[in-house]
Amino acid sequence: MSVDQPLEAIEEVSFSAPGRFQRLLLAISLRPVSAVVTAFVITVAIFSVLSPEYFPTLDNARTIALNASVVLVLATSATYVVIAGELDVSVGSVLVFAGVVSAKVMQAVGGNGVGVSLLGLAVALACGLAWGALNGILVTRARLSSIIVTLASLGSALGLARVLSTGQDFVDFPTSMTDFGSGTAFGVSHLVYVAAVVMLIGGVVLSRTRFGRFTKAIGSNVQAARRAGIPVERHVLVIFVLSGMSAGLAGWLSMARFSSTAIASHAQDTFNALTGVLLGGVGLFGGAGAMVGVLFGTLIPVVLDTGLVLVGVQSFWQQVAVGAVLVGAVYVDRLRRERAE
Amino acid sequence: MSAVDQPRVRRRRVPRLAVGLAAIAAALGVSACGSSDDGGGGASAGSRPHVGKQVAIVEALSGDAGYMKASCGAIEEGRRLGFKMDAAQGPKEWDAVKFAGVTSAVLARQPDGLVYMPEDPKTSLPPVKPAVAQGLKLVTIDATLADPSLVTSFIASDHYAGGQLAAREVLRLIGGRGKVLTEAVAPGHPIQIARVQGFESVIKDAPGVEYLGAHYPRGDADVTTIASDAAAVLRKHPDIAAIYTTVQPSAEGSITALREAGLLGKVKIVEWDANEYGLKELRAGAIDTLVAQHPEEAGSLAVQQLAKAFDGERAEPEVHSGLTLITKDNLDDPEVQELIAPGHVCS
Repeated sequence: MSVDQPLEAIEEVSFSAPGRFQRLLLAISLRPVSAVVTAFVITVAIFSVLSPEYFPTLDNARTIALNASVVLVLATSATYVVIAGELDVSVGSVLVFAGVVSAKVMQAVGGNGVGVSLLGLAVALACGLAWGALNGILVTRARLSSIIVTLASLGSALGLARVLSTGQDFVDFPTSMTDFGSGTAFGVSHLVYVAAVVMLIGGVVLSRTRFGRFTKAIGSNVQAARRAGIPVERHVLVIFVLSGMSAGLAGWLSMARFSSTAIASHAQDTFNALTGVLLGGVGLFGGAGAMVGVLFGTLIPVVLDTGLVLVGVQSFWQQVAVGAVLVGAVYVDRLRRERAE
Repeated sequence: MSAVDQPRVRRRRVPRLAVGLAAIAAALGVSACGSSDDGGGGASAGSRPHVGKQVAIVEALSGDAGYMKASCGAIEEGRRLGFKMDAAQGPKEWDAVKFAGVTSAVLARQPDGLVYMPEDPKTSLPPVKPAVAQGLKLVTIDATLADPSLVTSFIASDHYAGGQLAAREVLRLIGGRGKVLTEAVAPGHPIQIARVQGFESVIKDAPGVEYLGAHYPRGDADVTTIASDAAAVLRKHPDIAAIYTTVQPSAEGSITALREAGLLGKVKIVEWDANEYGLKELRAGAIDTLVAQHPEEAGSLAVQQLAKAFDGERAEPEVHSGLTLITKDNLDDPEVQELIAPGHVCS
């Protein structure tokens, strides 16, 4: 998949007065994807040494992939939003809202068949689409800042979900759905396949299609994009709709996995996805990024969570570690940008 | 909250409920709660000053099963004691502003007493402060107010004792031997602290137990991180004997991790609260025991304390409602059925 600077750029850069450490950082950071892959490899290597018995096993890799799967779906669409220079912080709430409505519809229809599950999926996607469209219209037509619009949606989507559910979680789902959520194919959870397909499509579209190029063009310079004839408003609207729909899909997947709407337990999802995107080398100010980076950026926090438990570190340190890695990644990103200018 | 900063007092129960509880406790071979003092329950409704006083009820969230049961308990016991009980009021959603609006509307009718289920210790204080200054007697359920001087009495479960109860249940389930993990949320939340500390006060001293500690997710109650944490613990300790989950998301994450590791049913789970999720997984065999609170009893204790205050007796500053352990064995007992029945509106 595409990387934004050619490899040759590394040689062309003249270092002003760098120390060896900074030079190394720069060399790595000039290719954002190589920075996150390096961080991932180092993390995995450290835990493999510290916990050789439990960490570097196929089973553990499968578990990590499963635990990252729903966040990967959210991170894929968040990549587009961030590259386009916007933010959508409402996905965690839209996920819950879509889940509650979908659960309500499935309960009303009743039955355990595949048809009911698929109906629930369609409803979840439609709910996500509706919230995404609302966010997108407010951003592009009413010209409001996306962080404010989606912050409002964050509160109202969760509020509405609580009104519709009277605050009680739905816990009865069609068995076809929970079987899918807890089932595996070739030893790997179904959810991992779904996440892989979503991410693959997201990556190819971003690097190989006009849609991807438009997204990057809008993020790097809106005025230039507009003059070049890119339908900026419509494009941004579509990105918000996709973001909402991926939240809807994630909501359905999450219910299939946990057998519960888990209304109170998804506040962190938005930030887990954004952490993945930022760790993945997608700059917070838009314009550039590659899906491979986001894949590894999303995996790093899950690897840290798992690895620190296996090594026996107290769970509060997980939060510290993820925070530290995020700050490090953003610092590397800043170095990269300074050199690029 | 209870175990942290306020002195615990001996619990009193409604006799009718107490008989049932004693039966359950006997059947289970455990005591339903640390100290039980089932002497004289409700005050007798004679020609006491409280008779005929008007009492209102405000719920933090209308339609919530727990609050509805607390209101029903208050209304039933209040009528028995001779109060004039108003129907319970509450906002339809969890919202401090709407809650304050409902509270003000209720207080506009100038009740003599209020059974108050605060939305938040701080934000729920201003709406009642002026009325208390003018003589309103206030009893809180579940949470108390940031300024305890406004509160005649505070009724809640003893979460510390509940943690101890859960620990003894874990020991019974695993025969006193094996590895035990706690999955909790929101470190620093007083109820969570009490539930974890109570549990640890017993489990850490158990000779046959290797205690793996209390784990918390990133974010307040992030179910994905809980599942990932539990999965990692299970990888390292596939021979784990029991998991104590202090709240529903902890159980959701832990059970999902167990299912995915193929260990469901092999590891004992004791969970807090007899909510719909807990009951479903109890029936399915994933959860072994639920620690159930007694909201209805909390409601009746609340009006008993109000009666004391009106009659010039000393009201207890803090009273604990009871707890019941629910397993598959006692699930069909009438007392337990009553405890887990969905709430309904009492008037």
